[in-house]
Amino acid sequence: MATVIEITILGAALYILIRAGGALVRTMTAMARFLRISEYALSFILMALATSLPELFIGISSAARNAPLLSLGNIIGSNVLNVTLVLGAGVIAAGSLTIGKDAVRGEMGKMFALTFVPAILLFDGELSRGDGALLLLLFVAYLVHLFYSNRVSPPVDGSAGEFGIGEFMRSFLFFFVNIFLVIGSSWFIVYEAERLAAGFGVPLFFIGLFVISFGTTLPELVFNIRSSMSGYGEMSLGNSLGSVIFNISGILGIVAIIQPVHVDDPLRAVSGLVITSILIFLIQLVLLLKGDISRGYGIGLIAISLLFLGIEAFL
Amino acid sequence: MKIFSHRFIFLFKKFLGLSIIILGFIAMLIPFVPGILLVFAGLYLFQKRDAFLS
Repeated sequence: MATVIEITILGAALYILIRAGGALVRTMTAMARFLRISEYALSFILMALATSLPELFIGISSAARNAPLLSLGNIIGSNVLNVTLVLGAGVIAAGSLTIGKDAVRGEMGKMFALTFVPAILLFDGELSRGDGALLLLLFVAYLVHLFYSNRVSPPVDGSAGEFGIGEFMRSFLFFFVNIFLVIGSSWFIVYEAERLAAGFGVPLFFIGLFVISFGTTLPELVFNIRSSMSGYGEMSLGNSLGSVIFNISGILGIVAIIQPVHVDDPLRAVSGLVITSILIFLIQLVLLLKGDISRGYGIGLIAISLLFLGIEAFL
Repeated sequence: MKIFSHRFIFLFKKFLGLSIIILGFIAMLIPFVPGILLVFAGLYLFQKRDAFLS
């Protein structure tokens, strides 16, 4: 009987998650039209910030409890999953992901540099308060640059005029309601899945690795699939890349300022950060050369994510 | 004079691409970070649109 109730709660939470994910895509397009910035930039800034809240809370609480290494592990893990599993699922759902070559050409070098800086800073085995401040400064500077370089002209037919301040505020409110629903239902799914798996005798280590890491990337995953299926592939890319940049420079910067990070095995941490940098660079290179990422790359990205999880579990 | 047919080149690219993808995944298992480069290079070759298809 208890199992039936748990499965019902799981199903209801999954339904809310999918519906709220779809509503988020609609509110984001309305807000982007009012602010006159591209959907890519808005999802990069706002959606990435919102879906990285769990990582931010883990980061602040682990730094406050004198265990910043926990946050570093969480950031490295969720970054690799963001650019492999989450992006790959979006690509497969949409069939292909297309974004303007000019947009990629302009951002490629800056983004590679931004993702590579933490790896260089961590090479000596320590991320000091000064390093953290530098990361945070770079993060804010990049967001400001992205906001102003992605301004779009209003449509000639004046259709943007119908999005007044009232419409924008309504969308903004809906955005927060839906973010709350997405994160809340994801938490319920992880909680119920954990109970169910424990009930069936699945070892705790595997629950932690697969259910928790999958659960914390669930909001991004659902948003990417829904936005890709609605024809807003650039939102999906903006969300994935934005989450990585927010994790790697914003959250890591905040954590290092609260509590400097000391790593015993810097090579392992640096290689995790380098993997993310290389993946982002390669994805952008494919977009630049081909103009789109096809389903084959999506399958390849998901295979890389499974391999990464396997290596982390068994090596 | 054409030595190889379009079909042969098309299939050869697919085979080469797939081999490089598999090699890349094996390299990643070591774990060797540049294995990712091989996986992407293989995918690029495997996914490349060919005149034979159009």
